[in-house]
Order: sequence, then structure tokens, then C-alpha cells
Amino acid sequence: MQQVELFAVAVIFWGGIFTFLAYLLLRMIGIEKQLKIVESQVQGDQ
Amino acid sequence: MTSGLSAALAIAKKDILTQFRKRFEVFSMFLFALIAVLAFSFAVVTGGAVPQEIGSALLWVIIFFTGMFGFAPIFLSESETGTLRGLATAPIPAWSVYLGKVIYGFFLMALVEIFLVPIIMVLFGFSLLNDAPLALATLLVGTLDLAAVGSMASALTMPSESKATVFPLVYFPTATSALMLLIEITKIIVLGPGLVPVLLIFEILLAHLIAMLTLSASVFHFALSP
Amino acid sequence: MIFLGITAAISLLYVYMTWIFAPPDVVLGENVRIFFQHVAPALVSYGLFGGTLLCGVMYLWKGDLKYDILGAVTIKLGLLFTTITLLSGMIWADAAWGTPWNWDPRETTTLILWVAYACILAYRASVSDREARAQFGSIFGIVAFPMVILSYLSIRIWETLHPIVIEPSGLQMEVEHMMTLLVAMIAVTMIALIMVELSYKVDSANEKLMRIRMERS
Repeated sequence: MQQVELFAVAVIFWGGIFTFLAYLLLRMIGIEKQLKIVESQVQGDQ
Repeated sequence: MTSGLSAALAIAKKDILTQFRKRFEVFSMFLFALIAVLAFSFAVVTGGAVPQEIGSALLWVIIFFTGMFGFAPIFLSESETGTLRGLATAPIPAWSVYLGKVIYGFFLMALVEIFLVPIIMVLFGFSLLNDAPLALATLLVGTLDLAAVGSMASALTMPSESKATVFPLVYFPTATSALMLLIEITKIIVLGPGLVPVLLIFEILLAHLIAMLTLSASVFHFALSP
Repeated sequence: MIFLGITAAISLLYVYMTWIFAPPDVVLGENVRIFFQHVAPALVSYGLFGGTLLCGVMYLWKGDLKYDILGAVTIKLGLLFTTITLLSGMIWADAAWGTPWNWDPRETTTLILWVAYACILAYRASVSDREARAQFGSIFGIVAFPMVILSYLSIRIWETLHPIVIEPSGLQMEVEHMMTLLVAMIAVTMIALIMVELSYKVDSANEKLMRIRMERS
């Protein structure tokens, strides 16, 4: 019983941190893709 | 300093006079408070009475929600009629505009509370007269605190797209701390001295009021000049 | 990169100390291991909300948009750490006091804190003009701070189930636990700083993207 709770707390703590990091990574990838598209469009305009 | 104060008083006076010309706002705030009393009564009345500690706590919950109606239009009406530009460009310090609005908000709520507090005391069956000076001081400081927070919240809603939905979002985070303290003090007044020293909480409430007033007043000129 | 390595090392030390080094507590038993993962994020989230206040003041003073981005980042991370605190606290409360939620003043004020800073995020999202969002968001971040102080003081004001650990005379606990808490604080603070930096990079990239799009349209 107690083991389960200790495990759950560890999962919440590290899971929370790493989920956020993964979210940041995914967002960064998305933004960089968009940035490339937009920058090539800007060059196309000129 | 004195010119700022007199400007604040002039702004408050102007708003109060406009308020008196269209009386419906105070009256509808009062009616809303009564509706809230009835709505809460369905949840808390047990055996024809309301437990004293719940009744005294609900007093402030109802004032808190009534304030939401009273304080939201403080700056919205200015930005709708376009008089806000005038206030921003007028040769008065920004903090006196804020202070004037706080005085106006305090006056508005106090007007409602004069009728509301006795009615709630009778309906919910508790008495604040156990410690009348402290109760009066709490009402004054509490209403002033809510007005200080409410005027700031109203100013913050101005640039938002959905003003009506955003006001509670701004009002809640800043007003809830005061609400908790006010409920605690009122409970102690009604039920008699508890485990917590009441003066300590009152001092924290005062500190909260002073912190809110000075913080808001010192950043207010940023809210007026976009 | 060096900072990242040190953080990883200290985090590993933190894990080791939390799970193996720290002896079971006399009163709390094995649950003391939750303590380090509950208190450290709580204090760090207070620190992050303090950072929101600081960034708000800096933005209003300097008018540099980077302080506003940083302020928004500290709100998001503060919310993350408050969530960790609340959830681990609920599990601990379930184990120690029988119910996950007791309406303990500390719990209540922490939940209010969560809602309050979530309100700031929602408010910021409702202001579309970038300058106005930065300016009014900064003001909001400043005036919301008294709630953090109240949450911190709540265990001294009300009678509560939370013990007052930090006394003026020093920390009231065993030496091993004190050491572990210290390492936990350092580790979580460093993790938080790395996350602040990463989120800041992501958000400023996003800012750049938005600006280019605005200029094109």
C-alpha cells in the first residue's frame, strides 16, 4: 500500500517535469518548422 | 499631495453624483445581494435556521459577489463614453484617479451594505453586536479593501477583448485573500474568541489593504497610458 | 551545458538521498520520502511567483518585452510546480490523514494560488494587443503577489495540520532529513532554472514568429 503511494508521488514529480520538457520540445519543433516556412515566404516576397 | 487628494475627491464626487442621477445601479446591486441570500439559503438552511458560523461567513461571500457587479463598471463606463482619455491627459497624478475611483467604489458598496448587513443578520440569525467597534472597523476596512481591489481589477479589464467574462478572473485572485481574512474575523466576532487571536488577523487585513492600495496606486499610471 | 551537467548530477544525488540515504522518520515512517518531493516544489513555486512579481516590476521599469516573456514563463512553471505540490500533497494526505483533501488552510490557499495564477494566464490570453498584454499582465502579476505571502503565512495564521518546520531557531528535523531537504531544494531550483531558460527560448521563438506574421499581414 505504502509502496504504491511513494511510487505515485515519484511519478507525479518526475512525470510532471519531464512531460513539461517534452511539451516544450514538441512546441519548439513546431515553432521552428513554422519559422522556416515564414522566413522562406519573406524571402519569396523580396 | 494635497492637490492629488482634492482631485481624487472631485473624481469621486462626480461619479457619486452621476450615480445618484441613475439610481438603478445601487438598487440592482442590492437586489442581486438579496437573490444571493435566497440562493444560498437553499443550500444552508437546516431545520429552519442557519448555523451561525456559516451565516456570518456567507455575509462576506455575498458582499464579495455583489462587489463583482458594483466594481466592474467603474472604469468600463469611462472607457465606453471616452472620458478615460480626458482623465489620462488631465494634469492630475494617476494615483489620484485611482484613489477617486476607490472612494467611489467604497461609497457604492457602503450604500448597499447599510441595508444589506442588518437584513442578512436578521435572516441568517447571527449578531455582529458582540463586538460592535471591531465589527464596524472590519466592515469599513473590508469594504475599502474590496473597493481597492475592485477598482484595480476594473482598470485591468479595459484592454481585454471579453470584458465581462474577464472581470471575475481579475477580481478573484486579488480579492480572495481579503475574503478569507474577513470571513475569519467575522466568525470570531460572531462565535466569540476562538483559538486564533483576532487582532493578528485584523493586522494582516490592514497590511493587505495598505499593500493593495500602495501597489495599485504606484503602478496605476501604467494602466492609464497604454 | 556545464550547468545542465551539474543539475543532472545534483538531481541524481537528490534521487539517491530521497530514496536511499534518508532514514525513515520516527513519526512519518517511509512517507518522509514524499516530504522532499512535496516541500521543495512548493517553495520553488513560491520563488517562481516571486519571479513573476520581479519581472513585472522590471518590465514596467525598463519596458523591455523580454521581461514580459520571462514573467509569463515563471507563471507557467509556477503553475507546474504548484500542481506537483498539490497532487503529491493529496496523496500524502490520503496516506497520513485518511482523505486526499481536508480543506486545510495551506491546501486551500495553495489551490487559490493555482487558480489565481491560472487566471492571470487566461487574462493575458484575452488581451490581443501585445504591448497592452505585457503592460497590464505585468501590473496583474504585481498585484496578485499578496496571495503568495498569505499562502506562505497561512500555517501561522490558522490552526492547521501542516507543521511549522522553519522556526526562527532553525529547522525542526533530523540532520539527515535536513541535508536531504537542502539537496532537494538545490536540485529542484536548478531544474526550475533550466526549465525557465528553455521555456524562455521557446516563447521568444514564438514571439519572433508572431512578429514576422504580423509584419507580413
